Parts: sequence; C-alpha cells; structure tokens
Amino acid sequence: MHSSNRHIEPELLKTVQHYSILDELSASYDENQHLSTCLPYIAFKKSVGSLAAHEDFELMKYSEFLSMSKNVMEKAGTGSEPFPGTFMKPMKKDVNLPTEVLALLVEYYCNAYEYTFVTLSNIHTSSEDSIVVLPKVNQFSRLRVGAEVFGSTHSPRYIKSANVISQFVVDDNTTDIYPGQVQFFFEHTIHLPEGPATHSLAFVRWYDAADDRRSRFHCQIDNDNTKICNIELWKKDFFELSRDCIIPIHSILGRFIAGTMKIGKKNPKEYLSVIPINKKIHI
Amino acid sequence: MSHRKSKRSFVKESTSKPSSTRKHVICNCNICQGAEVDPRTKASHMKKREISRGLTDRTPERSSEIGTSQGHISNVPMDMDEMEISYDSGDEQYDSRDEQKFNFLTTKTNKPKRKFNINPLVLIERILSDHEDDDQEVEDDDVASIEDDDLEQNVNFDAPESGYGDDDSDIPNINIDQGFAWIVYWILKYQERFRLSDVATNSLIKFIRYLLISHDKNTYSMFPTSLYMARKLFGIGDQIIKYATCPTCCKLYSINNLPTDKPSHCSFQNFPNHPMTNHRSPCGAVITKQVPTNQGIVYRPALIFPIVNIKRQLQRLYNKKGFEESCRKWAARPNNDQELSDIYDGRIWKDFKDQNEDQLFFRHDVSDSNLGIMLNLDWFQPFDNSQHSVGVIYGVICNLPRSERFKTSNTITLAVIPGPSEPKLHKLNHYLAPIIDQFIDLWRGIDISTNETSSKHIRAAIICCACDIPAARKLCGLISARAACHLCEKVANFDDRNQSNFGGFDDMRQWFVKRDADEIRNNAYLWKECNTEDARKNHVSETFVRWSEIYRLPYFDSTKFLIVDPMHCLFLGVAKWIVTRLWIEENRLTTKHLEIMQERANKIKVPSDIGRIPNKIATGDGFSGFTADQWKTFILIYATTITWDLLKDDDRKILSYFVRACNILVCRIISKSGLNEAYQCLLSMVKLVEKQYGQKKITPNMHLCLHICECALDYGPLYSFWCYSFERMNGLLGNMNINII
Repeated sequence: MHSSNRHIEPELLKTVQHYSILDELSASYDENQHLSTCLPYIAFKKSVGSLAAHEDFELMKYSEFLSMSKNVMEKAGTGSEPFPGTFMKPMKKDVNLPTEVLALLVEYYCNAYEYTFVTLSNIHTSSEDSIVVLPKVNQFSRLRVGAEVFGSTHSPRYIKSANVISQFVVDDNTTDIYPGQVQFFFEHTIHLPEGPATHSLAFVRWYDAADDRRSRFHCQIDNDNTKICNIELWKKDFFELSRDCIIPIHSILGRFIAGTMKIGKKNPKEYLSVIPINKKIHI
Repeated sequence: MSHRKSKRSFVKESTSKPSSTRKHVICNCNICQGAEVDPRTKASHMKKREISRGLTDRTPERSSEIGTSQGHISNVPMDMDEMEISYDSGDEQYDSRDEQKFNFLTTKTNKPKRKFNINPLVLIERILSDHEDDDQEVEDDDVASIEDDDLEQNVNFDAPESGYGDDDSDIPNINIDQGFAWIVYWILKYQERFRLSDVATNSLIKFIRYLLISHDKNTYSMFPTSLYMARKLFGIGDQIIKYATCPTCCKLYSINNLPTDKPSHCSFQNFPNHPMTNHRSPCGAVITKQVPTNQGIVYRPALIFPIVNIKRQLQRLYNKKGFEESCRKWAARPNNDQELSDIYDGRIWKDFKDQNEDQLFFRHDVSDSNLGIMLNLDWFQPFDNSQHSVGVIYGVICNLPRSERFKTSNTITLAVIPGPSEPKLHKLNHYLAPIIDQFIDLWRGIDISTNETSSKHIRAAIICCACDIPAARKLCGLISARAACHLCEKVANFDDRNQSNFGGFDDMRQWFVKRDADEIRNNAYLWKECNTEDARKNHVSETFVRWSEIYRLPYFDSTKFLIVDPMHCLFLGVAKWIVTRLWIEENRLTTKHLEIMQERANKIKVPSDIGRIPNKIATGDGFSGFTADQWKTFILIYATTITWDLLKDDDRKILSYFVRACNILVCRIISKSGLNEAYQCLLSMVKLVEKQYGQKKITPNMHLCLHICECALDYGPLYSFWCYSFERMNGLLGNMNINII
C-alpha cells in the first residue's frame, strides 16, 4: 500500500501533525460563513453503540439522577423531575391512553401526590376537589438517558433494548429488583393546585417471578457468606396489570438482556435469564 | 559535621584509607572551583559532572539551575533529612488511613532498608555533591578497576542536540473571508475526514483549481496548484524533529551532522568501561543507505526516528478556543469521597506533590496550567503484507474532561519508533531520551501564549503510563513479567521445565507488599555502572530492573505510575486464559459443548449498542480470533447463561467470581466499597483456580489482576485509563493511507 520509498514513520507523524495544525486553524475560521455551511458535510456522524459511552454528558447530573433510581426508599421521584436526556422518535402526539392504562395512571397519581385524582368519565361521581386526569399524552418509543438508549415494544425495531429492571419497595420495607418490558414511554401533564406538572413516565409490563427462590437464584454460588448471583431467572410471562406498571422513568435502573435457560432434569422448564447491563454504574 | 553524618548513613562506606602520596591538581568543577585537589578526586568530579548532566540536562547552565532549584538538597542536608522524614510520615499516615478501608492494597514495606537502597535525593546529592575527603574514599573504591583517564564511565543514552528550540511557531494569519482560503481549508479537512492519500488530494486540488479558473480567471489565479502549495498557504510545513538511528543499537544521530558523501557508522559503545578493551569497541553498524541521485550516490540515514516538539504541540492546543476552559472543568466538580467517577477521584491526582513537596501539583489555582500527562506506548503493524512493527508514543492530557481527553485532536502523538522490529530491552532508552528531555523541561515549566492570555506558565508531569505489559516493562526497564511482578514483591516460581508461574497464596502477606520505588530507581542507576554483559544480566536478575531514561524524571514512581492495563489483563489475559486454557484444554468444555454454547448464544438478542460476539465460539480450538471487546461482551453477557449447566461446581464458582468482579470494575462510576468486593472476588477466583488446576496455571495476568483494584483507587474507574482508547487511535493511524498512487 505504501509504494513510496520514503520512511513510513516520519510520514505517519507528519500526517498527524498536519491534522493538528488544521485543527488549530479551525479556531480562526469559525466565523466563516461558507465553512460553517460546508464543514457539516464532512462531519462525523454522531457516534452510536459502545463508542457513545465516550460521548460527553454531564457526569455529575447523571450520577445524581442515578442515585434517584438506586435509592427508591429515600428519594423516589414522581416523574416530574428533570432528567439528563430526552425522549426520542418515533412519537405520537396527543393520543388517548387506553382506558385500562388511564385507570392505572389515576391510581399512580393518587399514590404519588396527596390529592384525589379522577378520570374524566368518573368526574360526576367524585368529590369536588379532585383533579381530572386527561387521557391525552405524548407517546414515545425511545428514551435516551445519558449515553444509554431505552427502547420499547411500541416500535418493534427497538424491542431488543426494551427490557429494563427497576427497584421496588416490597411489603416488608426491603427493596427488590424486578425485570420488565417497556411498552411505551409517555409524557403527561396534570394540573395540580400548584400549577401544571409534566410527568415523564413509562408503561412497563413486569415479568412474573419464578416459582421458588431456588429457580430464581439458580446461578448462585455460596461461599463463606458471600452470595454471588450474576443472573436471575424469571418466568417468561407477564405479571398481571397493576399500578406498578406505570413508573417514572427516573426509577429505571438499567437495561437487561433476556436470554433463555432450561433448568431441571426430568421436566425441564424454560426460564427467562435476566442479564443486567450495568456498564454505566455499579448496582 | 551533620552533613557528613547524613551522607555516611546512606552511602556505602569504604574501609580503605585515602592515600596522600599523589600530587594535587587544579579541579575546575562547579564545587571545587579551581581548588587544588587530588588527581583522582578531580577525575571523579569530572565524571560526576558527566553523570549529573545525564541525570538532569546536558547543558551546564541548566544543571546549575537544577542545583539552585534543589539547592536545599545538596547544600543544606539538614533540610533534606527533615523533608524525608515528613514525607515518610505523611505517607504512613496516609496508608494507615487507607488500610482500614481497603483490603486489596499492597502493604507498605516495613523492612529495614537494604544496603544498596539509596534515596534518589541522596543519589542526586552523591552525584552533584561536594569535595569532602570521605567522598574520595568512596570513589576510589568504585573506580578501582578503571583507569583514571576514563572519564565517561557509564553507558550513555543521550540523544544528540537537535534544535527543538523555540523557533517561530506563529500561525500564519490568513483572512479567510477574502478569497478562496476556505475552499482549500475544506479540501484539507476533507482529506483528513476520509483519510485520503496525498495523491488523491493533490488531484482534487488540481481539479477544483481548473473549475474555479474556468469560472473566474481573475479571482482564482492564485488558487494553489498542488497539495504542497495548499499546505504552504496555511503554513503547514515539516515541523517534526528527525533523528537518524542505528538499526542495530538504536543510537540516535543528528541528521545534519551525517556526511552525505560517505557511509556513516554507529559509534555507540555499549560497554565503554568493559574490563577487556576489545569489548569496548563501538557498534559500528552502517546507519546510512545509498541513494542514487543525479550527483552520484548520496548517503542518507537508513532509519529515521521522528518526534514532535511537545512545547509546540501544547502551544497549538492552548491556541484552540475553549481548551483552557475545558482544562479548568475538573476543578469545579464536586468532591465525592465514596465514589470514583474519574481520574480526579483517584489518589494520584489528589496526592501528587509539586517540586517543593509541600503543595500539591494539581491545585485549583493552576488547574489549567499544571498538566497531568498519561503516556501510552504501543506497537502496531502499519502494513498488511509485511512484518513491520512501528511503535507510537501518545500523550493524553488528563486535565481535560473524559469526553474530550481521548479525542484524536486532543492527544499528542509524541513520537513514532521506527521498525521493522521492536527495540530490545534497554535500547528503547535511546528513543526515550529526547522525549524525557522535553518532559524535564516541562516539569520546570515553560511560558507560552494562549488563547486567553499572552503568556502563561505551563508545567506538565507524566502521571501515568498505560501500556500493555511488554511495553510497560520496556518503558520502565523492568524485568519480564514472567519473572517478577513490578508492583509487589512477588517473584515467580520456576518448575522443573523452567516454566514460571505465580502460584502460592499461603504466604501472601509476605509478598503482597509494595515494592520500594526509591530502591527501584536506585537499582536502575546502578545498572548503568555495570560494565559487562554478565554484570548487567546479573544485576537485572537480582534487582529486576535495568536503566530506563524515564527514571530521570525526579517525580517518577514506577510502582504507582506504571499501571496494569485492565483491558489486556482482564479480558485478553484472564478471561481468555480461563476459557481456552483451563476449560477447553483440560477438557471441561468439549467441542460438543462449544457447539451448544454457540447455539444458545445465537438465541440471545442484544441491543444494538452492545457488540454482538462473532459466530466463532466453536471455530478452530474455540473462540478463535476474539478481540478484547468481544471477550468483554462474552464474559459480561453471554458466559453465565450459556455455560452454566455445562460446568462443574468449581468452574461455576470461578466464572461467577470473575463475572461479578468484571461487572463491578467496568462501571462508569465505582464505589470504593465495590472495589473491595471486586478484589475479594478476584482473589477467591485466583485461589480457586490454583486449587483446581494447580500452581502452574497461575499466569502473570492472574497475578496482576489482583493489582487492578489498587490501580482503580489510584486512577479512578477503568474507563479513565484503560487502553481501549489508545488502541482506537492506533487503528486510526494504521488506516492512514500514505501515498497511494
């Protein structure tokens, strides 16, 4: 490939030097009108994939956000807090939520705030100070937080990154991590007495727990008090719809990859193996 | 008197009495300043002067400058003692604070100092020092076997002066709004973007010129006619420093000093003081090649070693808009004691001492002028079809935020080490010398103009060397990784077939001890005094270290700055070893198992931003041609699910421990408690491997992974220092098309 008789080493360094000089010159050419039009033609595409992890974002904001999803006990969000990222296309503007989801949403708000909320259809049966939850939402199929993109089943293309895990407080005041599949993300505005508040929420179907602890922690090793379980097994079916199906996007802990695993010798049962991707922060 | 005492306590004392029968002569060295001394004293002073030049700089003015800046060392020894004590106690204090929290730290040496252990400050003192009589005794003892007239005792790696001075580094001022300069600029950017060869760009420029001229002859008559002219328009010239280098011993020569009318021979003496005169002969290799020209045959250097002027590179970066602002960002980030999210949370950044030891180097008031440089050295193959290894040394400015630090435009490519093969052992020193010279200047500080102010005092220090293991050993002159660990006192065990291993964890308390950096430095200096091949070999096998130019940096601490690269160690080292050498080779996983694994792996659907692993689990011996990144994906995502029921109980444990440790370590933000857990997992894993597969399966990588947690504590999460970022740059360099016709 290099046909000249010259040495490659100085050539390489020279090329690197030339590039760095060009880079330095760029400062003085910032205002050039032609260049500001033409340089984007040859700009690099925004990096995707594992390289995107190197892209810049405010690490500190991000870690604050993450601490919210980690400490559900102390600082669970309501969904109206800002987050370091955006919703992404494809989107549907002003669509009506299905009735059963709307009912869950009303329940969600009742839990999150100390007000009473009702749907439009139930307005005449409820007390006067209750707040109406309108069914209009902006629906999105993707969410970017930091450098990570979450998908949803709403658009089949991104179904592979629709699996998320989230932490919940269970009855006896401990927390547990549950896996689920995001159906869609949505933005919803309610009119609280303090003023309107827009909530960033996700509609998630949760997977059903395995029959017993032994199957769930099948891949666990016990060694002098240290228990290490890198993947958990869950049933492949969804848990029935409940209020927990609507969560603020802030409580999404991360994505996981769904594998399948058969356990048991006599009548093997197939389970979903939950392989968390936590390359961003240690859970 | 106190002076002499302090010296005696460190320097080897000799029992021989000074002879007083010699005639005195006048010594012109800095210390005696013309006083009459013993001829041998004079000889030793002259020699010391040589050494001190080698140690600090080559010009006498500069070495005296060092003398003043470190004057308290050589002139007021009490100061030195105090300083040392305070330094030590500070260190211990720090350690005791930490030991409570982290079980993965190598412990600090508590052993009495060995007899050859000389503090570097004392060494400097010894070299620069005074003319007291006991000094003469010492020197008499040392030089006994050498003739008095042999002034230059040690092997000398200095590079020839090659004016990397401060010639004009102005940016040409071109008003881009007038005329066509922007078109040329765009074309050059276009070449960079698509990595086009010069030939391709040249023809593009010619074509554009034709287009423009046919459109408007008057305006564009000045449009460059070739790529050369286009570069000239922007003042892009040949601004690299080139040395001719000897193909055999790597000695550098200034190109201008080589005659073109006759072949030149290398004059480097590897053993200038060999007891047998015939071994002192210079290398003698031909360093030129014949180039036929119109004027007959001309002799040109056969190999060229190019380096950059770091000062000019920094100047260039500082001229960029926003560079200083980016450098200041680290100072504004909140301090978090529990979590490590970047290099600034690491111990090195927080504790790195300035020249006078009582203040930190990375202070908020100099956040954008005291730079921390991370060094990387690696070899790669630029050609597809021929064996030709080219080494590249990169410098990365750690003051920049993580997102900008590793951008190609912000990394400094310091030098390209010529091929066709990697320099062996200490020969790399020839290449390092001119770079280290520049870093010594940078440690003292330089003044450059920046985008914001007209003059700024810039200083820089190498705070980290992130290389793969072989390169790291060469860089710091350490013995092969097969023989001893460079961070702790572990020495390899050799079995009957002379294969080394790092097994044996029962006496871990004894060897999991940090090596003494001063001792290493001191031994490195002593290597230079070995005057035969055998002496050098013995020295290396006893002390595990040979000379490296990098020890000329006064602040360099090879036990801290030379990190274990997690990418090579964890994924290419441990992961690959466990799967291919333990499981597959010991028949824990058969070919049939591998096929099942492949089948299962194919069923797992990973998100698009995580690289899929190739369809090669069952190919060849298994896992053929997996890259580091693919190993990472395999371990973190696939391994547990697809191999669990194929493995026996203990192998499951090994896998679980390793996956757990990797899961913690690859995170963007690591909590300090997480590091403890990761270390425990790695240790349990290594112990289990030894129990299951025997001592001989504990490779250097298996041992080194125990040190990764400490490196993370020093430099923050693995993201901030691992070699993935540098390997990417090598990829870019390797893909550059040079001169495609």
